[in-house]
Amino acid sequence: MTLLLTSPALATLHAGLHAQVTSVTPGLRVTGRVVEVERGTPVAQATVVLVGLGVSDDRIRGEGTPGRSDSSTTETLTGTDGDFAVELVPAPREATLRISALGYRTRTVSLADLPGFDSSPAAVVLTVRLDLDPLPMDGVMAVVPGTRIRGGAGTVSVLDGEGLARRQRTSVAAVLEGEAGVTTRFNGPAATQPVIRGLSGDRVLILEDGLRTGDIATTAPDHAITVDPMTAERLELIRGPAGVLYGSNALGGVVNVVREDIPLGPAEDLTGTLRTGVESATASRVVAGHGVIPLGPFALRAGGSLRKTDDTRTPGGPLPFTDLSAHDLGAGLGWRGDATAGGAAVRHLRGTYGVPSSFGGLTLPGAHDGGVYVDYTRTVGRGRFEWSPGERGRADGGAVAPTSPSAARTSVVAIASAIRFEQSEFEKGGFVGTRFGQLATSGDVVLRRERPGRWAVTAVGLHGQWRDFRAEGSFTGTRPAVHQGAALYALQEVRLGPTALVGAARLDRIRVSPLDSTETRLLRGVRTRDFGALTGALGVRVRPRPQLSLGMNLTRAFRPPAIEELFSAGPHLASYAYEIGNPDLEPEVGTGLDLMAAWSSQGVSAELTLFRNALRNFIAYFPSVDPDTGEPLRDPRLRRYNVYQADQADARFVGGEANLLLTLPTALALRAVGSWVRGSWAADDSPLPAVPPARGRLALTRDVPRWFATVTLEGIGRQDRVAEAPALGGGCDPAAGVDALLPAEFCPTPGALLTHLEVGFRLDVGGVPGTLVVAADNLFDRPWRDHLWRAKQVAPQPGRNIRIFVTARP
Amino acid sequence: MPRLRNVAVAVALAGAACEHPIAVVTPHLEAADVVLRSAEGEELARTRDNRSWTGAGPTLAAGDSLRLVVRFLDFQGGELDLDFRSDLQVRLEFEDPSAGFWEPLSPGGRLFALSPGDHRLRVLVWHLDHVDFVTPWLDVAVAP
Repeated sequence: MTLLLTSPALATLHAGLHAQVTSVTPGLRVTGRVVEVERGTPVAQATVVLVGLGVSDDRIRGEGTPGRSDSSTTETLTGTDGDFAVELVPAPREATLRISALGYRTRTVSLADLPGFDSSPAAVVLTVRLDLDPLPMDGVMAVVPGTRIRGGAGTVSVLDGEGLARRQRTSVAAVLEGEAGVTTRFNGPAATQPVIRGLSGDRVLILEDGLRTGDIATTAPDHAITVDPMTAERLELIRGPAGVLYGSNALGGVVNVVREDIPLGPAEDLTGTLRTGVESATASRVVAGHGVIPLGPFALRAGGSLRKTDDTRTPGGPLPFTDLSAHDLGAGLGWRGDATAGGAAVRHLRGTYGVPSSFGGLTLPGAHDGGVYVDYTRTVGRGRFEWSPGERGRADGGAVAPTSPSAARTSVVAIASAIRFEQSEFEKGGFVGTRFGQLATSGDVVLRRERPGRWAVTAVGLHGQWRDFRAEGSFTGTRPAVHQGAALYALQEVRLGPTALVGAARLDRIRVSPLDSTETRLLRGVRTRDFGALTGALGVRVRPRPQLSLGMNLTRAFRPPAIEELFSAGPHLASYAYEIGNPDLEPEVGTGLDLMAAWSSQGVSAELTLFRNALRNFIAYFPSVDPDTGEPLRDPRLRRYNVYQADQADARFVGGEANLLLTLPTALALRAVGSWVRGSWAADDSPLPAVPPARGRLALTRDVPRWFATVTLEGIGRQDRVAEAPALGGGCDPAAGVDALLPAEFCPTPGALLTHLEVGFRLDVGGVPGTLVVAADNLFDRPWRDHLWRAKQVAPQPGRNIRIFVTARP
Repeated sequence: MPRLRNVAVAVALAGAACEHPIAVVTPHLEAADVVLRSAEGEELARTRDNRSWTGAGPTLAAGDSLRLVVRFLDFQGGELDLDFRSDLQVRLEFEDPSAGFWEPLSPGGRLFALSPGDHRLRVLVWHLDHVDFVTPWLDVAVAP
């Protein structure tokens, strides 16, 4: 009997597993090929272990493990073409195939779950696709713009496919929360920002398909990242300054939302994705999808999303003014020829969201009195062109090694975008408190050469950006200004046997020109500023043993002062302050050191990263004191807010991240993730404001082809290492009244222990593969506080959140 | 012709997409102090760091009016030229609206007193839809 299993049906079983089962051998023989999920390239030296249950000693033969009464094991390695063959004679009643390879997620296949498999002797032919795993370090030490991040290093994580589907939430930051080194700064579900290694805002570079988003999310805590994570195909995360080649502002890290609006991949069939989901804590309803239509040498991609939420529910009651309504639509046309590929895309996004204003009848500290709604529109046009002479295929090969080991490959990638962004903040009564507008363009041209041997990867690139930022309205503190920048960068990766070296350098020139140079008593010296810096990275990775990788990155990154930090002069309600810029500010320069160790052996993957990021000229706002009275200086316009002025001093961040993955019998896995950061002023080692507490997760997962289930314990540490409060008066107890509260960054935050639960099913409905995820975050509805939220003394974080998400990939 | 029309539409759409959302920037009035003068140029009152008033202030009787010139000073004491700022509007308002009203003229305006007694007024500068500048209250005695 031969049972042929059609590919689409089997693909749903285990994300790309293709199998054919026949009964032609006396035992169980499993043959097949292990390939990379993304490109289908063979994975050599992968370990394939076939474990059989239900056999006795006298039935075991071949490479089985003697002495065990009811099980047998055989093991082999894949060849250079990814092929393997393992056999157990006689056939066991149950059998499991485990495939592991350095740099890939270990995959366990229960053969009994394959349609057509029974206890009779059989031959199984499998094609197993392995996902790249961010855990084992694989040499990425500096990332080239315009290329796809491949593999994972201590500083890099990639979320895609099922992994991304399982993490879906309302914002990009919330999706990334839980990755080592990443936390969030909550301000309602829309305006939640990622915090990487203690840095956020303008120190974290948010990219969309490798280019700046063009919104103003990083300029204030009440601004949202205007990208819906449901439209993302993958999220790339670079911790620390290893993303230096992406540009300035990468001091804390880089988040790249990859949507691939321009369809460059080979399109032979109609493909697409449909995602929908609901969340209980925000009453969120979201649907998103896209389709790619092949049109000869061209491909047309169209997609969009629609999301609505109500007010967020917390264990202490609803959090008003946190509802959200957003939608976006996009279309792109691309082509791929023998040596060239390219295309263009447009996307229009619009949304309205509330910013938390009150809780339990109390106005939150720093909130807009009576609530505020933010309305934004963003229109993006982007283009991409690739030239890869001599090779038909994608040119975005990534920063590691050429996928074709036998030939050198040269490619040129050019990407560019033009963005129009507008944001209006509606105050109580419906009038516009502040209106922001921005036109922005940016682009990169990268020449890249990959070849076998010592000089593995060479890349040279040019970057340019321009943005015209303007603001108007009653609560506008930011001056209009034009920001222009250009950069030249280069990267060389060298392979010396088990050692890989990466050197990268970038030369930046940036000019910031105010469009309004009016001076005031508090803001003097408003003028055009020019900044420049030579930055770069030097990394080394050695593999002294096949299971062990050791690595070190030394990086230097910089960030020019933001327009707001240079030229602001007005009330900033999001921070409950009257903020005065400082046109004399110098750029922040970060010198980072990462030390990484990774171990990957059968059943165990572990990684430890330690980092130190010394930031020269760290910019922060400091309270001003009236020289006449010695009292805190009140704003000259409204006499309502304390005046804070931007200034700078040296600071440093030290910390670490740890990952541990134990693969247990019966498809169980235990994963532990922890991260910790300590931020201090360099002069006296006193605490920096708003540094997140230590955080860790312990997750037990059972993952079989048709379903998976995970229970997670998450511990959030107490943060009592807080900056000394300036002479503002007030305290941290809301019982004394909201008006008597110190700003949140000066108040400690208690720890919390949360429990999360997740169950998922890999579906196959009419040949359409998909994933259904049902999860409960904060299962026991525990009240807890986000140390970084300015309203933490008054309002807790969201309570139990039941999430149901469905992804289908027709 | 249809092709030309399509090109024109495409150019118009592209042009609209490139237009800045805030085409014209009208900056806030960055005044530090204000001076009230009579029509003859006599200084009646001025603010000090916009925290308090100095000077006797305007004197008028119920039913009378007084032509005032309002001048704004920057932080260095220099007079700001606001004649070209059509987006700004100077207003004087009584704490008790029934005490009197302000009629804007150019330059300055006319202050009308309606009811006798001790009243307070302040100077505001409206910028489009919001207030850019507001002074402390100035005591004004209105004779019967």
